[in-house]
Amino acid sequence: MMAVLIGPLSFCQLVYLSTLTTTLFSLPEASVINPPQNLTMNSQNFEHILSWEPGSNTTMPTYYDVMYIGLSGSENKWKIAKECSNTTRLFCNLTKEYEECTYTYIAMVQSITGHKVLNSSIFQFSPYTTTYLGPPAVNLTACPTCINVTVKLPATYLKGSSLIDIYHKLDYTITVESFDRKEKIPIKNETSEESFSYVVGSLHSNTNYCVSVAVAASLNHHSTPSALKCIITRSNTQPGYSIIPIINGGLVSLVIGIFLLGLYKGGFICLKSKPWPKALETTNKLHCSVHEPDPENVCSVQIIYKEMEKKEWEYSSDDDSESDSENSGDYTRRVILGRDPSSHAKSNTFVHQTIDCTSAESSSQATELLSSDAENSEEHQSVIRENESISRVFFHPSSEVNSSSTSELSNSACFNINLNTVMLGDPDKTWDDSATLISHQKDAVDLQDSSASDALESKNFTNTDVKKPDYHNISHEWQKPSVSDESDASDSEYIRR
Amino acid sequence: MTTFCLLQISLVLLCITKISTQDCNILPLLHNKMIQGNLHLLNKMGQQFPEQCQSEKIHFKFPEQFLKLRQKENAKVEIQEILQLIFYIFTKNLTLAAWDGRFLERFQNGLNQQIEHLEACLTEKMEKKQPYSRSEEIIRLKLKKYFQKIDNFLKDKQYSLCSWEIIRLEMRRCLQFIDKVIGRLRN
Repeated sequence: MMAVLIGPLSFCQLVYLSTLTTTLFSLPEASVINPPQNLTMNSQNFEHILSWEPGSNTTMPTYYDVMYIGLSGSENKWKIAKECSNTTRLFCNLTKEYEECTYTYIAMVQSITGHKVLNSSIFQFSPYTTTYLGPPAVNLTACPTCINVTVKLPATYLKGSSLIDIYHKLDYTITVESFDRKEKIPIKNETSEESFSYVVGSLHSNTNYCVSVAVAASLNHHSTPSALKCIITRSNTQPGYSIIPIINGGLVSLVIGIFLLGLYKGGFICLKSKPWPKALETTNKLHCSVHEPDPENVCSVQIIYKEMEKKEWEYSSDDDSESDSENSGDYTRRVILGRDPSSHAKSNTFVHQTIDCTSAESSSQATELLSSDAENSEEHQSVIRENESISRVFFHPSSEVNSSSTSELSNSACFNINLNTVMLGDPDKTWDDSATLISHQKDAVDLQDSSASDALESKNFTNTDVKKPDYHNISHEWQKPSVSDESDASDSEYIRR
Repeated sequence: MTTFCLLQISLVLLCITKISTQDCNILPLLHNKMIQGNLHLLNKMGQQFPEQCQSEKIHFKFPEQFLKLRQKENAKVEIQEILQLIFYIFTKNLTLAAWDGRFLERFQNGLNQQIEHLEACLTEKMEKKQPYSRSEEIIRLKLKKYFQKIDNFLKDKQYSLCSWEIIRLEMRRCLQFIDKVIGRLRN
C-alpha cells in the first residue's frame, strides 16, 4: 500500500522536477544578463589598458562605463574614465586616470543594457609594483673578444617622469648567449641612468653572440626583456669602419680647398706675383689725365658778391623778409658762402656767372660749381693773383646779362677765383672798405656761431641769421627768378635757418 | 642535554645575527631586500581591498619632501623612525582586521629586524651625525603628524576592518617611498 503511494508521489516529484529543469533550460538566454567579467589589466611602462569580457551574448547593444577610485587619494566617490564613458569597446586606456604611480587604484566596469545596469567585480591595481618595465632599446658594437652593450631605458607614459624618476634605481640583467645556445651568461647590475653601457668581456672571437636586456625595480620585478640582438665578435676592424675616416678627411680637405680658393679669388692671398701689365699702366695714366682737364674747365668769374651780399646782409639785418621783396630778383642769386658741414660735396659756391672760357661759352644761366675745397681754392688763389684786374660783373637773373657780361669779360683765358681773395663791398663805395671773401668764407664756416662776424668789416653783416644754407633751394630760386614770393619764402626760410 | 643544546644553538644564532647586523656597508642593499620582503608579506596577509570600504577612506598626506632628503645619515635616522612608527601601528588592536596571522607576525618580525639593524649601524656612526637643518626638522614634524593622523583615524573607526584595510594600503605606499629613499643611499 505504502509502496504504491510512494511510487506515484516520487513519480510526481520526478515529473515536476524534470519539467522545471526543462523549462528553465528552455528559457531564452536574453533574459539572463551578466555583468562584465574577467577584468584584466595590461600595463607596460605605466600605460594601463583594462579589458573585460561581456557578461552575456545579447542582441541588444550594451554600453560600458569604467569607473575608478584612487584609494590613497582624497576622493571617495567613483570617477568615470572620460575616454571610456558609454563605450561599446571591451577595453579602456586608464593611463591618464592612473596618474599617481604610488597609489593603489580600483576599477569597476558598469554595463548598461537597455535599462539594466550591472557592475562588475572590483579590480585592484597598483601601478608602482605591477606595471611591466621595458623592453629597453639595445645597441651592440663588437670588439675582438667583447661586446659593448648600450642600453636606453624606455620612456614612460606618465607625464614628465622617466623610469629613473619613479624608481631611482633599476636592476638590469644582460643575457648573452652564443648563437648555438651552448653557453648563456646572465650579467646583473644596477643603474641610475637613462642610458648606460656595459662591456661584456671574455668572449670568444669570431663567434656569433645574441644579447637580450631586461630591467626591473626592487619592488617591481615585472619586466619585459628586449628582443634578441646578435653580433659576431670580430678580430679585425670592419672595412666599413675605415671608410668613414677617409670620407671625413676628404670632406675636410675639400672645405679647406674651397676656403683657400675663395681667399685667392678675393685677392687676399696671391699665389703668383705678376707684373702689372703695360696696358693697364697706360689706362691708369689715361684715367688720371682724364680728370685733369676738369678743374681747368671750372671757370669762375668775378662775382658781384658784394652786391648781393650786401643786400643779403641788409636783408638779414632787417630780420624780415618782406622788405626785400623788391630786391627779389637779385636775391634770388645768392652766394653760398657757408659750407654745409654735412655735405662736402655740396660745399660749392653757386655763382651765377658768365662763363668765358676756352670751353664753349654758356649763355644759359649755367650755374657752375665753384668748389670751395682747399685744393681748388688754392688754384683760385693763384689765378686771381695773376689777374688782379678783374672787371666787375653785374649779375642779373636774366640771361641777357650774360651776353652783356660776356662782352665785358673779354678775357679769353679761364681763371679760377679763390674765394678767399674775393672782396666784398658796396659798388658805390670803394672797394677797400668791403670785406674780403676770405673772412666771409670763414664766417660762413662759423655760421652757426654768432661771434664769427669779427673778420667781416662790412656793415650790417650779421651771420646769426644766416644759418645753414640750402643749396638746392637756392638753385631752384635761380631758375625762377621772377617769382618773388618764392624767393621771399625761401628768404624767410633761409633766414630762419 | 636538550636545554644545553638549545642554549648552544641560541648562542650561535645570536653570534651570527650579531655579526651579520654589523655589516653596515651593505645597509642599503640589505634594506632594499628587507623592505621587499615586508611589502610582500603585507600584500599576502589580506585580500583585495573590500568594495564597501571605499567610502570611509581619507587622504593621508605623506610628506613627499622626505623623498628629497640630502644627508645620508639623517635619512637613515628618518627611515628608522618611520619603521618604528609603522611597527607601533601594527601592534594595535588587530582583532577585527581579519588578516592571516602568520603573515602578520612575519611582517612584524621583519620590521623589527630592519629597525634593529638600522639602530646598530647608526649608533656606530653616531659621531658622524649632522645636526638637523631647518628643512629636515620640518620633514620630521610632518612625518610625525602623518602617523598621528593614521593613529587617530584608527581610533575613530574603532579599529574596524575597513579602517585597517585603508591603513594597510597606506603603509604599502609608505614602504614604497622608503624603498625609494634607501635606493638613493646606495650611491
